Amino acid sequence: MIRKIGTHVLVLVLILSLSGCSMGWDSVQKSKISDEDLFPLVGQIIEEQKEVVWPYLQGEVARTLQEESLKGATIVENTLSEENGRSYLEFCYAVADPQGKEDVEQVVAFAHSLLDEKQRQELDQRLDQTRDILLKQGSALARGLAPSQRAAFWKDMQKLVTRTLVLFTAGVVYSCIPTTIFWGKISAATAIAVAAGVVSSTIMSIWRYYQFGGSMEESFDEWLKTVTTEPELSYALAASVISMGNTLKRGPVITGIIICVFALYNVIDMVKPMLNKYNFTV
Amino acid sequence: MRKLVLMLVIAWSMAPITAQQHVVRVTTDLSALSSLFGQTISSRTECTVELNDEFGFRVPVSLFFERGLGDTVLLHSGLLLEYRPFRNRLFLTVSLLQAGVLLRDAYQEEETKLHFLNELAVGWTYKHKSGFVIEPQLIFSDPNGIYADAYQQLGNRFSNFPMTRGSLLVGWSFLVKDLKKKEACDD
Repeated sequence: MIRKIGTHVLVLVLILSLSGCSMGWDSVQKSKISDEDLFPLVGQIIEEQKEVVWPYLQGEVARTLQEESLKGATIVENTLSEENGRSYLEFCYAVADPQGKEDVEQVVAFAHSLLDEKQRQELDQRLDQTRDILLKQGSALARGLAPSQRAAFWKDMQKLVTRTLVLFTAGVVYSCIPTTIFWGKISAATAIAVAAGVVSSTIMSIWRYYQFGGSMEESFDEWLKTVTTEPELSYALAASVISMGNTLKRGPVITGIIICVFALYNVIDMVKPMLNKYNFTV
Repeated sequence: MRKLVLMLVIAWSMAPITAQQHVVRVTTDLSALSSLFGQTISSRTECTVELNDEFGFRVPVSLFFERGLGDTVLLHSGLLLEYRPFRNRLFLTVSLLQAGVLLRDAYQEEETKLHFLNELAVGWTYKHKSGFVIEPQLIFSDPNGIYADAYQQLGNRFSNFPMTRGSLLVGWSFLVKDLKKKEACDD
């Protein structure tokens, strides 16, 4: 009798297990980056961007970098010894996008591993809003163009949206770095510099296209001004414009981007302690 | 908690059967040999106690070692229930309790060293008179998606960490009372 009951319980458990079986086909979204791809490339990027990024790093990190002459490879090594260090390196790699895939989702997947649940949701929500607004604005502008220019403009616009979203993600990741993280800050800041450089070059290419086309530069200029002053429009294009201006002179200003992110996203409260600590100024 | 209660119910319901336990199988996974040529080296050994021709308990011990994505090392073990619904060679195993510990973590995450896991396997046992055993089985990790986060985190740490995989267990089975007799003879 007891054995029969036991058998029935077991059969029930098995049926329940199998009935919800997804057979494990759900794939993990975040792509894997091998050590041999990751370490040399991130080391190289840190090395390349150090003149742009390091002057804007504050606090203990800046002091250490001033005192010691560190190479990119050493920083990579030190970052690995920190909690989540590899995730910061992977994020920097994903933003640099050596394969040229321009896949925002991948960058966001890497960003997720560095954010808590609340921050992830916030990021996803803002990314969706930003994408919608940018594409809506771009679509309206494209309709005003000559038919021969629409396709080229739309292609550039989509690139701009993608790259701007990557830049935004990099800004959020940097601003959410826990204060206990030391070396990871350098990789995260480098990611912003790389993303900002890419965005500004896209804006410049669009700008040049219409400048030499001789017909649309004025409206594009006006459009840029409009979208960057609309309160509901997210940080994205504002950051792009800031980074473009600065890239032309001395490279992207990380602190400006961070301030921009948080001012426009009304999450300034969340980073106030950090802003105070690092004395960020526009 | 739910698993613990379930385990207690099962253990209680099988109390009369446990008095008849006599066969033990010790097997190792031959398919893991192929992992020596990849970035993720894995090994799996299972010890099975057959309670009768329907039920048994299995204790698997697995080790995963990553070479390509940092040097993560995962030790993975648990208690599985083996069930032969038709009292023949076909078997199903379900996890009663299973967990993995990251002995070394490429991401250095302090909070996620212990991961609770879940497996469901279907297989076939071939036993030779000499005691030689071959058990091909198909293992489905986390069939219900309850531990999706844990599997995702582990999946990110290993180049090869499939959710569905084949396994070829090879080993020996022996009677526990034979061992007792042998001990008695030795004495």
